Amino acid sequence: MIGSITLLLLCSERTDASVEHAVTMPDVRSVMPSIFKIHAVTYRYDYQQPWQAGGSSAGSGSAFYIGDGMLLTCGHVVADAISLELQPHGSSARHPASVRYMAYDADLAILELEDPSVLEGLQPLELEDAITELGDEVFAIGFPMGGTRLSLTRGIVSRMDHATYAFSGSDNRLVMQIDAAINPGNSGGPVVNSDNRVVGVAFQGIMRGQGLGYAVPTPVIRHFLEDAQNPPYHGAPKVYLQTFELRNPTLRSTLGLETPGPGVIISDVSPLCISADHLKPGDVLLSIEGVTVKQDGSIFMDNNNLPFWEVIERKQWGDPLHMKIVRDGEEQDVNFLLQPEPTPFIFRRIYDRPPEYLMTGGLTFVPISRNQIMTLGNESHESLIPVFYYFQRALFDPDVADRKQLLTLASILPHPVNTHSDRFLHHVIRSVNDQEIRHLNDFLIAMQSPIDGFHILEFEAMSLPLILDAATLDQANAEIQQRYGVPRLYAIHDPPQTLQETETNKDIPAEGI
Amino acid sequence: MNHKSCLNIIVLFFLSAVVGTVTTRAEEVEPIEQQLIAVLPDELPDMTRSMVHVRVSQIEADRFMPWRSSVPQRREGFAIVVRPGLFLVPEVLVRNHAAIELRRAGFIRRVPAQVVHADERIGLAMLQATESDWFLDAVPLPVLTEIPQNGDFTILQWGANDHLQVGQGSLLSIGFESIGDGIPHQLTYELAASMRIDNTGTPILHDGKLAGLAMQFRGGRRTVITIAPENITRFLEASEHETYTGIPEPDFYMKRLADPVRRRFLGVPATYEEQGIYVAATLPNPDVEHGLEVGDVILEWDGHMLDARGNYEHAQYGRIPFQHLVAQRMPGDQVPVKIIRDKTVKHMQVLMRTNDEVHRRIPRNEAGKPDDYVVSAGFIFRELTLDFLKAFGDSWERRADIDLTWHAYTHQDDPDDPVQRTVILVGVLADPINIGYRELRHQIVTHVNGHKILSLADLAAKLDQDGLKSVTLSGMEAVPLRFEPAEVEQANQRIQARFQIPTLSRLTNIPAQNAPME
Repeated sequence: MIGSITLLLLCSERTDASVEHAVTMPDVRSVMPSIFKIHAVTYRYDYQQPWQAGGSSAGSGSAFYIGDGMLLTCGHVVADAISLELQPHGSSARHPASVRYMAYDADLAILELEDPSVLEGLQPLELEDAITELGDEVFAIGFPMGGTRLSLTRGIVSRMDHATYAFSGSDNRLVMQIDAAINPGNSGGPVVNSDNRVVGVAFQGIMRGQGLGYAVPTPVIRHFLEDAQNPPYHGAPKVYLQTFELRNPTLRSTLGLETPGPGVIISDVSPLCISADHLKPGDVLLSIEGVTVKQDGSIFMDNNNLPFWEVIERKQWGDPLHMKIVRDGEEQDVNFLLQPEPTPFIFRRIYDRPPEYLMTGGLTFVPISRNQIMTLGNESHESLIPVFYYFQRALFDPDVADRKQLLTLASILPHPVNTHSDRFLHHVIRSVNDQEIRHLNDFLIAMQSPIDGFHILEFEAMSLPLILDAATLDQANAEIQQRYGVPRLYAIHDPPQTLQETETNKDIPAEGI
Repeated sequence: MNHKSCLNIIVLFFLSAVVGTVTTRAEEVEPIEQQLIAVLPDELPDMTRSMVHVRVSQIEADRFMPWRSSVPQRREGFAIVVRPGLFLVPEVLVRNHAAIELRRAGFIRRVPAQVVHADERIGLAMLQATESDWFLDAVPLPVLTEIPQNGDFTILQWGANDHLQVGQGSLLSIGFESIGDGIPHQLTYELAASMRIDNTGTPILHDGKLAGLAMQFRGGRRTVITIAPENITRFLEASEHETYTGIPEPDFYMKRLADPVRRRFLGVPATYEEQGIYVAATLPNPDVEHGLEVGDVILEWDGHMLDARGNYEHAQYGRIPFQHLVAQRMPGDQVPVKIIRDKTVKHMQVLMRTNDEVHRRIPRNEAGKPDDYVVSAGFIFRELTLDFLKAFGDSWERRADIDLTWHAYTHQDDPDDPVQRTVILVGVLADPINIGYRELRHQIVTHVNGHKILSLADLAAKLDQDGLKSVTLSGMEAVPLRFEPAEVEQANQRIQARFQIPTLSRLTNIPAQNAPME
């Protein structure tokens, strides 16, 4: 019904030509009851003072029923949520819901209702199987700008591209750019074609651009749904490689390659990545899964030019990967299984868990993370260079390879014990009492072994250590906790297994007291 | 020395707001002159023979395309007479000069001058007029030996039409100020000035003798930062040698040692309470076996006790930084130093030397020198300097390439590294020869033609020897970028013509290992 009304309204404002165009509008009446408005209350943690309670805020988005008691929406609508309620189209009722699966790398989430009977009789929306093409007509359905009535906007697919998913801040993945108007509140709503089949999930836009809305396209949605069938959710596989285009004829000739011809050269391989065992800098990547890799690292796929890693991202962890490379002038086949990678611990924005920290002598150490970097705002001064460097380069710095976290002195709560510590602010810790620090838990353990009555904290690229008097530290900590209202001296999640098993760590709780 | 006979004297005590009017509309100033002329100090020398106008045409190099430069800017100031033909100015006035002209008061003709030597670290430069018979009746001013702490100072400058403006100053404070960005602090003093000082190099007199040169006028506070007479004397002494010797500086970075816990940790006995500084880093010097080591605590320097801030007790000025003590010595002197090393008190001798930027792997740009560069196959090579990073503008710590910034941060001074300078690829000028390489920029060059690169001069030598065959960049060691040397020569001609590059290389700075120690 609303679809018809919208059509009428549009017709009343448009020329004959657009009326003719409008006859392709889908009849959304059949799927309208399957689209819900999300009322979310979220709790945002305080990364500046991580021991402190955060704040809550309310927001709204959209979700749609995809069958089997599951509703699909955007991750950013429901991340950090402490309350989720779903309001069906045409109803004033709000039904409590919870997150079943979350894809931080794909900005997608699957919700389930406490009362699944609400979904009875609803027609699930189905994913379109066909490749979405440039110029395909699409319709965005949702609850933009907080309205309680469904909104339908029309546009075309204006580009299939790779772009950063703002939700994680770091994942560069396939996106579908559409010129249908989408606005805050549309997030999580379906983008359908004229057959009412889902071709995307509306998720982000460019404020300064005109008609630049983005939807998560079907390959990413499909990957998420498949992955979620085999919990826990692993995310899209990644191989952390840096490549350099092979356009230069002299360079190609030196490598024994003809010009023109395929192939991109691998210039660096992250030591964090499983592919480090199979690929090495200098290898020329000719094809991946039988798809030719062009000189600039792109492949032709789905009638589009896409980066070669799109092939990998469509696979699941555990899947085999086949590449053809040239190494030392010889063509070789490389086969390996995609294994779960260590989490890119710094780059992806963290949700749904309180920040980790360790405070000693009023010095607050936190793992460098996107969340922590964001607390710096536009601050820029020389003392921040270590944080900026490690944030951007941790993946490819071999010295970082076996570290689970990089810890920085994020703030200092003034107390006589730290009067002379300002110069260490924002620096990255290297060792404590001669013990290398690769995780907050290492820090905790190292603080149990002062040297000659001193705690010696050494920082990267600093010759001067920070010295704390071990004898007075407990008293100082107690005073600081009391003065600044710090309930716990540390919060540490997921201590590395090897450390949990160490003798010294047996009695250390995961949460500080 | 009757200055009144040749100049229209305007004395402006507490009337700076009308300076502009006074100097452009002479008829309105008469009453002021008549009213205030009586307070002009009798001992004022004839400044027409002791100072000259300086006009400098100054150009800033483009850090990214070093053969390009900014539109010339003009600066004006004063120089004082050292002897006929030689003149002293604040170094900042002639930094990055393209042309310098001198003019006597009361004369229209300008005479070209050149810099004999400039020392940005002490903030002074020596100029020489190019016409040997010009201004032979110049009279140098006597220079005070120290900052006078009693009585008024006299500030002298010429306004339009060479009207002499005379103001008064009174001493506010003696301190150590950084004369330029990244320059070690130097002894200066701050005067409360009775008038606005429009020109760098305005002489400050006391009892008819030179007490300093104005460096920087702080309009908001109506004060002027002035180069101390000690620095002028030391500069003139160092200039007397056939080769300018420079002024010694500490060749280490110090940190204050205020933290009592750190003091105990380092084993500083309680008897040395509030005494001693920490050696945090030593600077590279290929010619000198270094005496001091990181971790040393310096208790005494050259017979003076150092406090935990690095100050010593000066007979006249009270507590001032020990850098001043260092600057009183000559390069090559040995000075006694008392330190704590490994929790034990030790005595040692430390060799005094100048601490030119030339010794550093990542220097600032050396003042007054254009940026060196080499262009080959469209690749723009230069050395990494702090000024290059700062050319990225405000928030350069975020905006400059983080690998370069981190490299500069961690490799600024590494005495054991054979690499004298870090050479970088600034960018690529498009030409058919560099197809596929054009997106490259701001990366460290590790090898050329398979040879490790130690400096830009080293890179240029490799190119002279073998032409350009390959370039290896940091982070891409496995992918040397290849060239056909025969094609490079033709490409260089095309690129030079297309991009209007006057010369494909400029190599004026001497690599560190070639700089002899005096």
